[in-house]
Amino acid sequence: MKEIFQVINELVADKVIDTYAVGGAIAAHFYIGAFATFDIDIFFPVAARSTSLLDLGPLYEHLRLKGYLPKGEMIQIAGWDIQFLPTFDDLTDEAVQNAVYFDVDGEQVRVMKAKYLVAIALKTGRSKDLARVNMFLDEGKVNKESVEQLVKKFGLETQWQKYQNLT
Amino acid sequence: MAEIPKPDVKIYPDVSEIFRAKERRRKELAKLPIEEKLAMAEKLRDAAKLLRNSKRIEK
Repeated sequence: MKEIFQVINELVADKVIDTYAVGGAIAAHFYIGAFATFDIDIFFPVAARSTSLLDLGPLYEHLRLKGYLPKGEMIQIAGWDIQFLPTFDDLTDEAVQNAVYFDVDGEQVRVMKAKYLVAIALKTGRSKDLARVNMFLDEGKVNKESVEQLVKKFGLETQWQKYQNLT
Repeated sequence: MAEIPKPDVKIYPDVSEIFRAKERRRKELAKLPIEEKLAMAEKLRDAAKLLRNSKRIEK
């Protein structure tokens, strides 16, 4: 996995993207137990989120020239499917900006904080996302008050209530 | 020299198309032979161990 994060850090060094954060199930692995996933979600900010088209061409072209080949809409690096996701709302924007660093085999990796992973999972709201929320809270990997602050800030009260009704 | 293939999705109509594509991929993977699923599970298990043992860096 080290190679994956080296390649992504190089994208920042080469100014292809400004910054990034690992999100989704792989990010959850930094904090809690195992979740099935088949890809690695890399969120990055885009300058003009309001545009109706997201041109990921330059990013994909940069990787292609380094020998990292596309696989459908993803890019394969070191045997993993990498999904590059532009931040698509204020919550994912803030999650990327406030990411923390982990040392993975000597490589520094930006990872979303646990409270943002929980908030995004609440917003997504599938059963597997809510199960993940439950694990974060049950294992004490996230502070409930900090989640409630994000719930209030990003208008997730309905989703939070739905989760609480299930538990 | 063989031409390097280009990604089949370069410009998304919007981010929701990315999620629809992920869902389609998930369904395709569900149809894989059990041997391939087991190999994927083993890869994920190794990755999970590595990530879980990663140390947070204070900056």
